Amino acid sequence: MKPDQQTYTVKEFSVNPSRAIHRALQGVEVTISLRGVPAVRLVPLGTFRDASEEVLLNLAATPGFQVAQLSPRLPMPTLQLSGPGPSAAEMILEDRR
Amino acid sequence: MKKLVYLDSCVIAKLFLLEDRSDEAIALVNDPEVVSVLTSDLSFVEVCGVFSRAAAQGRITMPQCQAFLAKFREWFLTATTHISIRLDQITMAGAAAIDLGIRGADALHLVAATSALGAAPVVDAFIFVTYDVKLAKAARDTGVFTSVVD
Repeated sequence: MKPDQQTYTVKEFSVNPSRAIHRALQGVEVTISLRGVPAVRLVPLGTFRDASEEVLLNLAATPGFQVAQLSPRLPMPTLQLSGPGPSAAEMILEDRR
Repeated sequence: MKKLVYLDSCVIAKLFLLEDRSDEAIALVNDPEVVSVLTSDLSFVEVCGVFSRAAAQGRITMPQCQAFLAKFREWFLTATTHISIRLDQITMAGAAAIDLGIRGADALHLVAATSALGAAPVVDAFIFVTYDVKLAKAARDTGVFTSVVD
């Protein structure tokens, strides 16, 4: 341990830090007091649906991943390409050739 | 059951344009067991490119194209887990293109999808969806997906 490094016991905090982090991950902003003085504020970076939290947290921890914040659900599309020619999917495959 | 689904851009196009197999694509994203829909940032460019081409050919009107782009952009940015391709993944994709005999864009999609494997142990199924037969075969050959839909 470095000479200037301070250590604290869990009892010195207003809430258990582990529980505070868990609450923050659920989307709650949490302020932690140290010896009765507000000292740390945990701000959630995103909110995750409960049942899928573990999966989404795993994805969020992966470099380069921007995790969805909303449901991907969509209604059936109504727009159609007019006239003869390839479908949109076929055009994408053509563009790759 | 918790599922992850990776969508190739040719599947995403069917979510916004009514054509053959649009119903299957919609069913995938509306499946309540799907935790997140994954795709590469490359899909955004590919799908925008198709709409631009359709407008240029007069197969949709310019207002339709602009309305689509606004709707698609919002969905892509907020409702998909989209994967930015890193330099090391570009190198991997180059090697995959040579080893598997697939096109560059196909290799980028495959590498982006496999980069989600860190999350795979906490899901029950990791499904790769494409309507490209060659890419589907390459995805099956990796052996890392629970199933490949083509």
